[in-house]
Amino acid sequence: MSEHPTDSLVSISDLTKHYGSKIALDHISLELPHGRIIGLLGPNGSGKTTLLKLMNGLLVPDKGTIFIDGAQPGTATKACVSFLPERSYLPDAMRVKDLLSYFTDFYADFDRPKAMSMLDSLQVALRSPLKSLSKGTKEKVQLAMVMSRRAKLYILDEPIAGVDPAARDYILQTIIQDFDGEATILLSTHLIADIEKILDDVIFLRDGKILLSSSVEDLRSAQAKSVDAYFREVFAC
Amino acid sequence: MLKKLIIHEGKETWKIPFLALLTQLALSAAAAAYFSLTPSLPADVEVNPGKLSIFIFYCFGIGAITLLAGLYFGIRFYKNLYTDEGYLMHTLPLPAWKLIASKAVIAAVWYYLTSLAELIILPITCIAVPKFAAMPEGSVDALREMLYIIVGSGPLELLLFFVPYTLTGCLYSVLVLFSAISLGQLFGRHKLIGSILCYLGLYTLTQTAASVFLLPPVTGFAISSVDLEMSGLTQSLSTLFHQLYLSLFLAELVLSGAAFFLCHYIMKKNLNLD
Repeated sequence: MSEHPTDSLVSISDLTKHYGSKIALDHISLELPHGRIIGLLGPNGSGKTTLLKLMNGLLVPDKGTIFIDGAQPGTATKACVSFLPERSYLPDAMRVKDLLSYFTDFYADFDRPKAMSMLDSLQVALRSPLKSLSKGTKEKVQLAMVMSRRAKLYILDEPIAGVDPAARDYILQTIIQDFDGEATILLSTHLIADIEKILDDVIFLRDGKILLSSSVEDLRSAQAKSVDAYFREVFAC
Repeated sequence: MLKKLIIHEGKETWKIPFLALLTQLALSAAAAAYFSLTPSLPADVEVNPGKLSIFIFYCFGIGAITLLAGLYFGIRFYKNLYTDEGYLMHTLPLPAWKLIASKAVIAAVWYYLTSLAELIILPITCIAVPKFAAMPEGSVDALREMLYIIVGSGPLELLLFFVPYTLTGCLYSVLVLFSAISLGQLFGRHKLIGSILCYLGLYTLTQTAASVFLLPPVTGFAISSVDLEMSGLTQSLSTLFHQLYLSLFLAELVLSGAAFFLCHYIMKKNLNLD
């Protein structure tokens, strides 16, 4: 079965993934609607990255199904999902302009002028070899590429981890600027305080299981505290 | 899309194999110049060890460069598809077979060019051997004749037998390397060591199969050519080479298809990027 008619943008059912004897995701089921900014929250090792990699077809599930815009992870979903991994995937041998060519050639929804404008604001020269950029600049270049697509779903894995507060502001601003109301952003983080203000919904993940899936508004009114405070309470060591 | 992928792959990888090719040509030009200009072997000397060593180093050097060029594409395949760079490649909206095909085409073309450069060893052998070893009368001509037979015994035969065989040979070598690297990804840990072991296993398996496969025709040739005169032997040897090239061409074509399918299957059904 490769088609899955649903109103949700993402539909996950009974998803399970093991790494050897360790269970990374334990029978997860989830629906993600259109037009929301969703925080995937959990401590390190809770299964966030595994879930995002499975959604991008970078891992193969042991059990369960994922449907994105009605199709299982594959060529069709990759055309409408824009993924920012937690690590730098930029090949050292490339220049910035080569990366632009890559995105222009292979993603029909890539907005090249927007990417050029973002790179310009970062003061990154197109002829710069990617290996000559600092770690922080590489992350920003990667984010600029990913956010310059007119995708239906943006999946951002730890977009603000390991960067300074000024860079965090830049990243958050980049994420929400020109945000298409029809698209959905799913971003994972454990730095909730910084990101809480832009979230519509949150999903709490622990030990490969979903603890909570709720709108931020409902959570705040039900718990009478911020998402960050509630997260600290739930995941207290 | 495949064309675009091939173009990108070509642009990103041409420097190192091009340098390898230039080095091979430069080494060959230097060897040709040296052995042409060096004085002939004195009549009372059987072998000149110094010049023999230079010739051996030259041959090993040319072969090693071809191997390194092949290895470069293996490393490129691993790094680009199974390490961090794989996050970019595997999120492109393209089927896995196009990723493999683009890399196989570029790698095979460069491997072919560097392999062709190895052929320069043949005429240089004809120039060099009389300079370091005493040769009986007419043996250089016999050597030339042998080399002529090896590359097909004529332009038409060259196109019909030698070129297709070497082309598929390069494609086959590249795809076996790629499939070994892909098989290595199935290991839970030590994937790189797993890839090397898989390559050694596949290499041993195919070489053993080739030996078994080639033994009957080569033995048959040896038995039937015992009583032949030189002209008959040349004809018989030429026919044998044509048969071998054709058989190996078909076998390598089938095995290349199998290796490609294996790579694709692993990438599609068992991709697990760390």
